[in-house]
Amino acid sequence: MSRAHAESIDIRSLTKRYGSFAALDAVDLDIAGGEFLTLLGPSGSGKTTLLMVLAGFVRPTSGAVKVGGQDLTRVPPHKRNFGMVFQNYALFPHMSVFDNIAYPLKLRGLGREAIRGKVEESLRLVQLEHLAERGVHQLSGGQRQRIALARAVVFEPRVLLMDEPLSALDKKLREQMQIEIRHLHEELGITTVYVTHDQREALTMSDRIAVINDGRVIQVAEPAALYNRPADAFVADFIGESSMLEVTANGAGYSFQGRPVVAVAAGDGRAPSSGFLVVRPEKLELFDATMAADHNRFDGLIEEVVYQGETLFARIRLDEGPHLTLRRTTGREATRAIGAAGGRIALALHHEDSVVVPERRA
Amino acid sequence: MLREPASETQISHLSRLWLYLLSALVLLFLILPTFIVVPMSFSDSRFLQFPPPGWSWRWYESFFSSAEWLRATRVSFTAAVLVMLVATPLGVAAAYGLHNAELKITRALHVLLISPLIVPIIILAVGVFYLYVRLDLVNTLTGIVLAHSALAIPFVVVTVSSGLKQYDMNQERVARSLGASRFTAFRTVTLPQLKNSIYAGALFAFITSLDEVVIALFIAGGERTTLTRRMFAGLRDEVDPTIAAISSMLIIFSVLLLALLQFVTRSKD
Amino acid sequence: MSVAADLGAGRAAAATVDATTAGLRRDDRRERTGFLGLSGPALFLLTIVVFLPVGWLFWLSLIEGGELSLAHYARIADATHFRIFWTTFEISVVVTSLALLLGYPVAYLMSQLPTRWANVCLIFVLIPFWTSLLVRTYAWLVLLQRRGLVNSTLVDWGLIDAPLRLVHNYTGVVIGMVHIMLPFMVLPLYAALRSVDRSYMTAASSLGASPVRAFWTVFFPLSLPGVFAGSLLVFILCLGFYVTPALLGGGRVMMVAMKIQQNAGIYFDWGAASALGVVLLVVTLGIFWVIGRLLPIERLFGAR
Repeated sequence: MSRAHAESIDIRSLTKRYGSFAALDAVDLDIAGGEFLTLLGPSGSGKTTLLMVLAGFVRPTSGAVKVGGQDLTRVPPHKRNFGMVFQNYALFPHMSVFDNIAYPLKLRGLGREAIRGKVEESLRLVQLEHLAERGVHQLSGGQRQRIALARAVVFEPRVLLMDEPLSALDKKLREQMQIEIRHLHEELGITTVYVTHDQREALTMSDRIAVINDGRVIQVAEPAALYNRPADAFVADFIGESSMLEVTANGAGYSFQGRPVVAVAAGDGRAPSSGFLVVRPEKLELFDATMAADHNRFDGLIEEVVYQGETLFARIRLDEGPHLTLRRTTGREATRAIGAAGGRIALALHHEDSVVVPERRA
Repeated sequence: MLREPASETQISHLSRLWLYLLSALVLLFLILPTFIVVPMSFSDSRFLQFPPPGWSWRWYESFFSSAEWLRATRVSFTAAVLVMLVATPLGVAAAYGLHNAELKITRALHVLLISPLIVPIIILAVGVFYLYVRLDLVNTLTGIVLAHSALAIPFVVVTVSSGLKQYDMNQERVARSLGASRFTAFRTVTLPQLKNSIYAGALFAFITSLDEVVIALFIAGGERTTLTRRMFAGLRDEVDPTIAAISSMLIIFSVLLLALLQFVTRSKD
Repeated sequence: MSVAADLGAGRAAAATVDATTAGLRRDDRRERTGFLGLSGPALFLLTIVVFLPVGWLFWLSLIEGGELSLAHYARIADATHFRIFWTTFEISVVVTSLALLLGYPVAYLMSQLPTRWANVCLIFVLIPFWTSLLVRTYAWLVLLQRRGLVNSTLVDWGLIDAPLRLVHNYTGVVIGMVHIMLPFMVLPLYAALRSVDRSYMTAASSLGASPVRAFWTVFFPLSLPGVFAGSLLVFILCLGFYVTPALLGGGRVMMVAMKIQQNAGIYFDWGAASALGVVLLVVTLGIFWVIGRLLPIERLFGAR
């Protein structure tokens, strides 16, 4: 299959209202050609609505959708040439696997030989050539998923849209499929918009992630940037684990209940006058004297230490009151160093790892 | 075996014996009249005796040699087929349209579409009669087909609506994303999967028209007398034993239709 | 100069955005009307054949000698008509009750049997249901007459000396109607009873209830919606029933539907016919409305 001409997507001021409720509120988003972008958010955040507007199944109240420079806002779904994979695959039960995949090609008027060639190529892409004549009901969940994918890409769409395609699969299969979808993307180079509520999935698969909540895009960034420099408390909380400590601005830095804290700015570059210090459990270190210059120090009492197989996690009650969570990969040195519940502990967080975020990005 | 538990509450079969007997009697009560007719139709005698004194084909011969009965049969079956052909597409379109419209008004429209089932049929019959007298549609095939179609549409709407409820509309969306227009998506993806509901609806439409009595009494007379009207007259005035033969044939016909429906829809439930 | 150009460009861009927004609204409206339009032909047919005539009847019942009046209603408020209403109501209640008493045990048994056996019973219910009304009425005519099967059997078994008058009277009508109505009672009841979760009965048993107690205190209350649905259906059907009373009543039993037919079909007394019809319709709709407030009966008919 040839590498498709990668088209960019341009979403401008997209709004969708149901009565007085805004499912999407003036969303602006630029997606580069060939990019794998994930729309990440909790249920009801508007991510699926946004995908449906992109697909053409939900008509926006106002705003525009441009693909490759072409305004598609009012173009009906069947003329957009987008490939789509739904959560429940939606394979046609009354057709064989072959006919399912051939469906879009027949609609485009391809001849029988051409169809056969393309369907076989598509099946080879998902490694299921031997299933061409089967009925849909004979397939397993993972197989259906791949056939749905094969059907969505066989006609070389300009954009690929996926609505939580893996949420119905069990954990192991899901992780396997994440890698396969990623490989498919690399091979075909189609601009892909992927919707999920699973932050781990988003971090694994995406070139960039757009975090969405309450119909607005909160932050768009590469996975590492999102994880290390969240734009606000919502993003910090939604992605990965973290403890949040309330801080207020104090001159050039911040103050945590009177103690000075040096931090870097939040993901959007702003330094809020009050907010939360995001503490990732795995970034905490055990304090020693050499760290004083470039680390923030926290002292407290170990409340409990829990062994979780490959990690150890400890809950610490700081002297100032709030709690912090510490996570360490288990090893002889780690267990010994942390100590047991009831003991005191001094923790250190590098200035570069200390991010202060506002409560909610305006 | 009778002392064994029969249900979740561990009641024994013996204690429930009365339930089994009563049910058997009721079921017998239900089926008996239907089956009594068949042997009756082979009776030799003019009088409605059972068991019949002798056996013969005479009432069947009487039916097949009677021009009026045959014409009435022709009228009834023609009307039933036409009603099926009219009511089914109209009902399918209505059910599909309402299912997808998602407006507040669809509930009201749904009730309107089902109203012929709620309004007592005698009222429909008198109303239609009154209208047809003015439109000169009394005793016409058109009149019969129109009236019976109105009666049949609710059946089609109900069966197709329930089929649509169990259908995943996402498939139409997928088809559209793959390049099919709304109508093509409906035709190639939804319609094949609604087959069972549509066949059931069509069959109901057919039977409703064929068995309809009350409206026919008012508007299906003269040259266009239906089978039901003729039978009704026959039953009320002087019980023509030919009716036994006709009834017997009708029973077999409806059993066959029921079996046909089961057969055609056997892939799903 | 450039500011004005910018303003102009800005305004033009805004105008395009507004045009798109307006266009989107138009597309939306077009799609909705399209869907509603699909139900148009069916509704049109129903308007001509059902709504218009029924409305007309309503109108007719209020016109006497060319002007609005309640004379027709006054005329039907006499003793004869009262008896007709009473008979209709009485028979409907009797038939509904019998159908319930006979139908509930059958539906209950069917709901408890394994599917295979339940389907066998279902056939016994479906065959009469699919058999023509006239055929079934005719069968009763044959069975209940003087020398019919029922009487002959009773005489042969020594239970009675002389044949009973079972047809061409009230008894015949009731028997015939119960037979017609039983499937209408059993089918919805069966559907409702089948959906009662069996684990409730297991729970009741484990809590100490005897089988009979468990039934009356747990199962029966849960089955009430089905009981209402079936009874409502049967009662309404009985109220407006024509064929069976006309054929099995021998002229001795006059129900509302028969009187309407007489007025319209024989006397062409549209006023009386329509007045009676309106009364019947109002009572029917009234009952539906009342019950509809208490239970979601639309689901009976497949609405969402």
